[in-house]
Amino acid sequence: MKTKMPSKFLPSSSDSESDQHHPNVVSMEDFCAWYGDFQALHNLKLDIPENRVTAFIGPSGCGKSTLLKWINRMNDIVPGAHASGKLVLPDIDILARSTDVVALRRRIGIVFQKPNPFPKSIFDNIAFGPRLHFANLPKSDLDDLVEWALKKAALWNEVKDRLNKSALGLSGGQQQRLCIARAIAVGPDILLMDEPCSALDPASTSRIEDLIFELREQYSIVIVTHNMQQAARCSDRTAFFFEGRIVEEGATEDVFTRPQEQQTEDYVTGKFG
Amino acid sequence: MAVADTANQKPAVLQRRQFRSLATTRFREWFILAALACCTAFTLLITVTIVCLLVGQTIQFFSMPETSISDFLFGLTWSPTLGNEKLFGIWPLICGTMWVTVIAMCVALPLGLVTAIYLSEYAPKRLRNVLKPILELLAGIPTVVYGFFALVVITPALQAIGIQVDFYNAVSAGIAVGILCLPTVASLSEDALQAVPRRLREAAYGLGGTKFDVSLKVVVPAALSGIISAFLLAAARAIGETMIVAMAAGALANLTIDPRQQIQTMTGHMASTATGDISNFDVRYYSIYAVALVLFFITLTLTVIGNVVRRRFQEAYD
Repeated sequence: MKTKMPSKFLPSSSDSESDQHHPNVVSMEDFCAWYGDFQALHNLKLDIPENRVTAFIGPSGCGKSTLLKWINRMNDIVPGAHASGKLVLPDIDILARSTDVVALRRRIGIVFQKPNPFPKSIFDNIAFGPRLHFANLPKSDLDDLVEWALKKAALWNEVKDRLNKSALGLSGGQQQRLCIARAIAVGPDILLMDEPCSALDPASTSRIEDLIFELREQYSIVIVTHNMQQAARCSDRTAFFFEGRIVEEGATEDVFTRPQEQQTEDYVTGKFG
Repeated sequence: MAVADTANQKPAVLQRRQFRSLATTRFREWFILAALACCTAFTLLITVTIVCLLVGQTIQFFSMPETSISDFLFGLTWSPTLGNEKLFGIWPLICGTMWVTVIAMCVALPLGLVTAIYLSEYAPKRLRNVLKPILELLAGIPTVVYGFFALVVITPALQAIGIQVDFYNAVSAGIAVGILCLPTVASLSEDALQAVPRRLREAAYGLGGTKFDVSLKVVVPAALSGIISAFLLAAARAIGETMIVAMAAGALANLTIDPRQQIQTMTGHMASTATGDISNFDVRYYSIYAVALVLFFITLTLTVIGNVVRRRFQEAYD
């Protein structure tokens, strides 16, 4: 018989109050992932709260991007990648064979490290996802949707007169905001961002960070970053990864100012990594 | 201390400061430049020589009493061997070439493109590594084999399924040329598809695209310029293909809208005339140069159009 867990095993940290307002959208337990024989992730346990920004930090090769890409099963296209354990949305088992990745990715959008607009017009870039997913899509609705997504990504004013021009003519920062707009145009609840600013200049980076901060009102965001300041500035919760394990996880403020583990402290203060 | 000394001392190479001779370096650079320029000049020279030869012999052809430029360009009958009246109207030969090329491209383009998409986007890597060399082997089969194949397999097969083709006909030859061009289209298109950056595929998968969506709506459009150039290269090969048409298409210049009949292509005429026992001063001999010049212009036009089209449709990804 299962007995009630002693309270010391329940999540105890100081932000349990805010957790109540922000139920988990993604939970994992005992999650392991491999590339072929190489185990990239070891027995992870983590909850990602709704409408918050969760940052994954850690040195290169620590598995943070691998985990991110498992959340919407982008690793399906990587030969030899497989995983075990529990990785679930409230209503969907992400890892289940029966889970339709098309439906999953409609709910969980992703933004990549390097801006990757399609070599199509700005309009067609945003319309790409909606055209895949929505059955009844009259031109006027599509126009509204494209405008909405571009406004949401704070790009509309810069591109509204050149929607039919190639997206490749935009600057790197604009391209990355276009990719964010493209991701939210299919109406996801969760946005995954894999080092979204690492290829951008400081000004563009700060615009994207502002954007992330605004988007968290409506989206649950997971961001992988190499940049400590970025994690500190725009995330609510932080998970520190090292060699495929989560060393420490908690409210961003706690992780940065009162780390529980020596490794975390060394990393966030720049002693290694 | 010894250890500190060696750490502070520069390595021997840096101490000697013996540099390679700058003069030698400069000479080597100059020599390489000269060698490259010579190779380029040689290629150019060959091309110019061929064009000069074609033009010169074509002028010879038109200086003969039996010929005129207007008859050649606008005449609808090509009968260089029959009786006293020799007619040199190019259109029946162009018609023959066109039929073979169109039929060949109707075979090679769809099959080649589908094959390329399968190999690049769907096939497991192992299978692809086996299939692609086999496919490319098709291009290594001597064309005379394709000629026989057209005569003894394709023509009887067409007749068996109820298509009333002559023994020599444009359809069989066209299909054989199409099979010959298939590996060119498939292999070059596959290269173009493979060259599409992985991050574009990731973007499309990340938006919830299926494999089919990703292939058809992202990868193929992004590779379009490469696919067009593959197609043009294959078309140029089809237009210039000689052996298959000489064997299987017939030897009767025929301005026809029915490809089931026998036809003669420009290359077919040139092959049969050049290998026949015709005197070097015969008007028929010079006719092959005039035909070759027309062929040259057609191919040139195709290439130019191809480049213009490619530039217009190009979806550059960087």
